[in-house]
Amino acid sequence: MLFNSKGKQEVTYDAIVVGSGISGGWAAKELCEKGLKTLVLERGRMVRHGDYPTANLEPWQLPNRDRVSAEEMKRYEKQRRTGYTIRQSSKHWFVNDLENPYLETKRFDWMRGYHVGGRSIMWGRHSYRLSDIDFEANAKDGFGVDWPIRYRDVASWYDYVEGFAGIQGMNEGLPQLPDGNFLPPMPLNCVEESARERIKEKLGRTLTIGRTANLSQAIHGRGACQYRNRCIRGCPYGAYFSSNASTLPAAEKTGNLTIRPFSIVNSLIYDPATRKATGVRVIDAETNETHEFYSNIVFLCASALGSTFILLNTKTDEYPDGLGSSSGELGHNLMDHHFRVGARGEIDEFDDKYYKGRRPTGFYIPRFRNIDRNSQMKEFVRGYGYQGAASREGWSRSVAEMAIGEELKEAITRPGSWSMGMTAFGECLPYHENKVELSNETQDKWGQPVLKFDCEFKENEMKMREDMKVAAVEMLEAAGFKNVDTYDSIGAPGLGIHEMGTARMGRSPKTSVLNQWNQVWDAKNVFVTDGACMTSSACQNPSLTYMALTARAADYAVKELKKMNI
Amino acid sequence: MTNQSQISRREALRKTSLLVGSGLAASTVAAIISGCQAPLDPDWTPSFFSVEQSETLAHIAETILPKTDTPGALDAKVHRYIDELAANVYSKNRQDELMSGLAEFEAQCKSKFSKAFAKLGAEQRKEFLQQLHEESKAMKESTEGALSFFEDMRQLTIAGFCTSEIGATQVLKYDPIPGSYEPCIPYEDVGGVWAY
Repeated sequence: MLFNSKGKQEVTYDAIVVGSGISGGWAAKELCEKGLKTLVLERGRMVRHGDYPTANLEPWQLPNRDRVSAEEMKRYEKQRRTGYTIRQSSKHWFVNDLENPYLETKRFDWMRGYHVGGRSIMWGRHSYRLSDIDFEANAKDGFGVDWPIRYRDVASWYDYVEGFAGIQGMNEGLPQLPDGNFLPPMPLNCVEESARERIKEKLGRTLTIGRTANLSQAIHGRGACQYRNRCIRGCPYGAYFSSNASTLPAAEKTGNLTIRPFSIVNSLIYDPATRKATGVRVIDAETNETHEFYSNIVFLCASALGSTFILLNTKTDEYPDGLGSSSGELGHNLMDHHFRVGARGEIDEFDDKYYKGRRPTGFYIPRFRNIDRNSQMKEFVRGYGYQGAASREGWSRSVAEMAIGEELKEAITRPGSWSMGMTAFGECLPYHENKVELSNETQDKWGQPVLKFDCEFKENEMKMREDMKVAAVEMLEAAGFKNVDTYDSIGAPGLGIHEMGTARMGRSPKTSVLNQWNQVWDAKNVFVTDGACMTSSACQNPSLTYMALTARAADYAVKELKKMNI
Repeated sequence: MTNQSQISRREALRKTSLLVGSGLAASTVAAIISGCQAPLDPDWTPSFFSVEQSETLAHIAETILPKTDTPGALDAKVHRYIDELAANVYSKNRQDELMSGLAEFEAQCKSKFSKAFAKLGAEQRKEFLQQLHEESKAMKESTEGALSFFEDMRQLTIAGFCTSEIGATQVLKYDPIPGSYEPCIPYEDVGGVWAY
């Protein structure tokens, strides 16, 4: 592709941040607050806090009661694979698959949101710390390379980002799931509370409120949760963490922020003389014009695969396979959590109880396998946790036994029985052969090559799933549930929407793409702080770790800049 | 979104005007003129179904969820919801299935009562649907034709009613902005089921 640059005078900044999602928003805030003139490049449209067109619409106000037509669905052939995201109320947060194609040697469900805020608008909000059990795992069992950091390196950064983002949760004192700097926890309901007590007593495992970035009380000028549970539409109260409601306004307040929407970063501009990036090449998504922007440092926060694309597409004489490819690991070790396995059961002890409000989280059961000598499993390494909730069935339950007429009408106005379900989220090992690469077999709307996926879950994940099912049944039965059913529907990688590992951190440039400060070994003024950097996947939802690593890397980058080291 | 619904309304009007002069529209008009029945929903024109078919659907829905001391399916305009889904959401296959199911349903009704469903009295309507419901419950495997059509209507009526403004706000418990989460309260404090 040819770039007709207008030259250096075009635009120069202290820092460029590529992407405005969870990681990019944090990079922007930290760099701006430390005084750097920062340009945030976002490939999609502008979304200001409050630009949430469906946030206050009732079901009857949405076209087709929230359903999308068969015709329109053709634009979301891949995005629709989640089964829950392509609705009238949330479809505008997901990409048009026709304009943004990718190739699948093996099926990979790549869910993307191209707009300011990225997936921070529709993320699941569960926020858990990794522990040293996770940071030491690769070194201990030999899968993947050792993380170059330990919990002590990020603990204070977790404190810091939790304090700003606002994470509600309960401290439990568990080594495998470190405590945090939490807002008051949202409560468990009576069935969950009873399950917590019984599971603890009979099995010694912990059921706690899902720690999420939902505000149980107002902080930093953002409102408290109103318990509507419409987070995926965008929150007019700013009551969950998103870039739009939280980090970007903080960055803007400094006067140092410039956001440029519709800016697709095609590649980095690399200077072999200094072995640094001097800027980025951008395609304007609306006009197709090309531009160059320059800066002292670049933060790639374009999502694991977005950032990996940019590195792979930065082909230089020295690195024909892309900047950061010298280790042979760029694009490799792709991970996602495997899930959609678990169980549910019914309980009849609480039929006189109900609840009010729609809590935007459920419960979490932290990992209990392979955390110490007593919990070692012969069949698999690593572990998993569960997310779930108890609720009373509503009108949508099958009312098959009810006839029709007044009898049916009466039935739909009463809540059904209480049930509780849990879904396991398991660690996926870093396999070198799980990878993405660039392909020109097809091109996107802007003539760029596309990513081609070749990734699968393997034996360790499959063995783990057997145990995920068995342990779910064991806990539901211990807690007094009846009619316990299991399910196991693994689907394809990607569906967890936790893509990780394709530019991993490590201790050696021979086996990793990034060092312990998220710097690209081959270009030290380029930092990658999104999911691409993950050396292992752990089993916890990863976004909080991206926040902490981004803030930590930004702090380091500015110190190094001041020392003139980069 | 406003544009979309305007377009579909315009589209609907266009379709209707094309039908003027056809046997179907003429017979409907004739039926109305002869004073047999006042139209159930005079201010609205279906996009997918004919007026006659849509009235049948409205009667089916009202029989499934009737008006009692609270509003029923007709008040909630469930037939509009079914038409909207059929016109805008369903695939061609699904549309065909619905049409042929409705035809079989009518055929079965005529062979039993020698009358179209819409012409039956409320008791006969209930009796016919009750019978289909019993048959469909007895069949464990997937059903087709009139039975599957009836089950379809039952699910659509429940969903359409409970997500309608009238159903959600007047029959179910509606709380758009709860403001708090009360995790464990006596059922009587709510006294019904939350709309969503």
